[in-house]
Amino acid sequence: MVIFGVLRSGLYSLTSVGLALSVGVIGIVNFAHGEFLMLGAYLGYWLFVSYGVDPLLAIPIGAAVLFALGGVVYRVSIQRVLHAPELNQMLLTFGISIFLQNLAVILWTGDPRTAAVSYKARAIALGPFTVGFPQLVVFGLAMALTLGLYAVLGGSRIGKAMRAVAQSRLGASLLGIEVDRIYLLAFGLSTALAGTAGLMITLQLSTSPFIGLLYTLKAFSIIVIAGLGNINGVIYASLVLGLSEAFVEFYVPQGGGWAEGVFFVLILLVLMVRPRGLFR
Amino acid sequence: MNKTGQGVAALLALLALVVAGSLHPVQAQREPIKIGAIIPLTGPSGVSGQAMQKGYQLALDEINRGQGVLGRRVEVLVEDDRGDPPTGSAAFLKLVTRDRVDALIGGLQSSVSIAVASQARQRPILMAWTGAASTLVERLLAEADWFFHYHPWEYHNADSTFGFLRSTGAKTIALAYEDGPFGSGSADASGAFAKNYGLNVIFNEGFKTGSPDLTPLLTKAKASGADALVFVSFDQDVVPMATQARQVAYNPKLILAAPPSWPVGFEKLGAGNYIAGMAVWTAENSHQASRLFVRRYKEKFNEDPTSYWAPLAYTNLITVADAIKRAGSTDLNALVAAMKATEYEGPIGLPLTFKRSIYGKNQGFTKLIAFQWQNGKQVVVWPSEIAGGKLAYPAPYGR
Repeated sequence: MVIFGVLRSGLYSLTSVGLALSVGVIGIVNFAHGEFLMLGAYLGYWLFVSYGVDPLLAIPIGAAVLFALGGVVYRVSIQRVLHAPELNQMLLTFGISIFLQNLAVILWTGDPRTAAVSYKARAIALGPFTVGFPQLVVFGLAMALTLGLYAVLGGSRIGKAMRAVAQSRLGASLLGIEVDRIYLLAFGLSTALAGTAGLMITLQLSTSPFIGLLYTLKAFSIIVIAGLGNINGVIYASLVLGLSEAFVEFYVPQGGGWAEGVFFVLILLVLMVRPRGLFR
Repeated sequence: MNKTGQGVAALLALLALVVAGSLHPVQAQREPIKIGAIIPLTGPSGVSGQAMQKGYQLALDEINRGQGVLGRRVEVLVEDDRGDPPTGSAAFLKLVTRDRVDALIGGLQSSVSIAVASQARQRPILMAWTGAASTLVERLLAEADWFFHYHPWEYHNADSTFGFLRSTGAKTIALAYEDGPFGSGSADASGAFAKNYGLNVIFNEGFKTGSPDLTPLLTKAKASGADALVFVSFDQDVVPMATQARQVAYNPKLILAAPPSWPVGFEKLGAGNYIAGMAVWTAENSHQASRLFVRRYKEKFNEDPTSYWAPLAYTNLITVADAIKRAGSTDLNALVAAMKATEYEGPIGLPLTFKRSIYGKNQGFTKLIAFQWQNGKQVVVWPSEIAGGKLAYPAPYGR
């Protein structure tokens, strides 16, 4: 149960860290985050089906394409509502989410599609346990990317600039930091991470235009548990969600039906008991 | 203009009025017969709904290639219910009150059909309904003489499923189902049917459709030690089920899944090999009408039909058009009488007539067939009289 919980937290972490970046640096709650993940999953599917590109090898392509797309979306829409009320920002990203979902339906129909990657069902033995190879890869990748992001934010000039902007937009601009470029970079990174998570969906599951909502909701739950904008807490919060779901599925009768409601309960509990997050 | 000219002009004007007046009834007669279709083109059952739309297109080509019906073209107005009950309900109101359709076809998800059925009870119209296996729909429309149902009900599905499992030699069953109306309805009916066939359901658990990780569920099913896993859910769930069963080394003697359709690319998925399925029809069906349907489908859409919803929808529209023809009008009572007299053998490969079911008045098909994925093909393995291959049992999963 613990192994399953830990492994599923890998995908959750990869999905959430981009959203945490968007909330933490730009201060915008992106409801279309799951749709960027969905586009990454389709990119992975088509690269595999059309050109035989393994989803793992497609990560640089997927990240670059989604980064560019995120940049365009930022310039065309997000940038224009940065000073608008939060409700307007939410409505805009919600609109982008619906637009992208319906665009996917028009382009690729509603059919779930699965890429028959040769190792999709492979398992490896860890002592007395067997674990899914793709899940293990995704967990490793999620940890590497999240820790890499911590390192960038903590040690590089760009990272320090992002943290400065996150703390005070005005203060950062007075120090000569180009706030708008930092926002553009942060939003592009956020969508690139969502796209990478989407490629990992291609590796493990099937994709359809409707997969985004579930991951958006879970990512929200994780960033609430971590504390809004707290990128450092995302791994721990993902573990809390993954382990809680696995626990419910294993030990609660008819737990498979209850498990998908765990994130709602966690959001509720955290907001009532410790609104600033468990890991802040 | 002189008097002769004025006379000619007046005559021409009069003639024009007469011609216009006499044309009006002819045009009215040539108004197309409108049939409304409520199907999910998007959403979780979008694959099945799109297959249905293709089935309708094939049927429509055939119907309109000749004289149409009663000398009128047939037009199908398709509404996408998105698998969403309020959208389905709104589609019903639009088709019946604004478009004034002569009959309704389609229907796939039970939840949507429940919403549509509630509306239909207030505004009776000929409903030739393909999908919805839940008996909630059957009970809602139990007294509706104008409701004709093509797909087997969930108890027919359960009867066929456990009849097939009995034939394999399996004794114990693990049942995993999505906890919406589709899966839970089937699960509710399963216990009694399993008992009828001497089978014992020793594991029974629901899950949410769309769950990315089914490993805890599969591990629990594995621990039950049941001979066969019966997995009742939608197409998006069969990929995680098939791959994660391999990952947790869950190798029962048989895995039987029953999604309404299978995901695109499933035939290439190694982990899907030897998984069995229940269906109204498969493309491997050897019936002559089925082969003809498959050929025409390939010619028109340049792809193989992979879902039974395409021939079922084709059958749906063809039989409704035929009933209108035999009724000689679109009057509801005449249509109901004509539908009741339907005798049709088409691509499904089984004769279609409408008889009483447990609650409903007009039930079409009552049997499913079983197939097994073998090297990317759905090989029919049961019933033996139409089987195109042998069931691999115990299935060599993981070997």
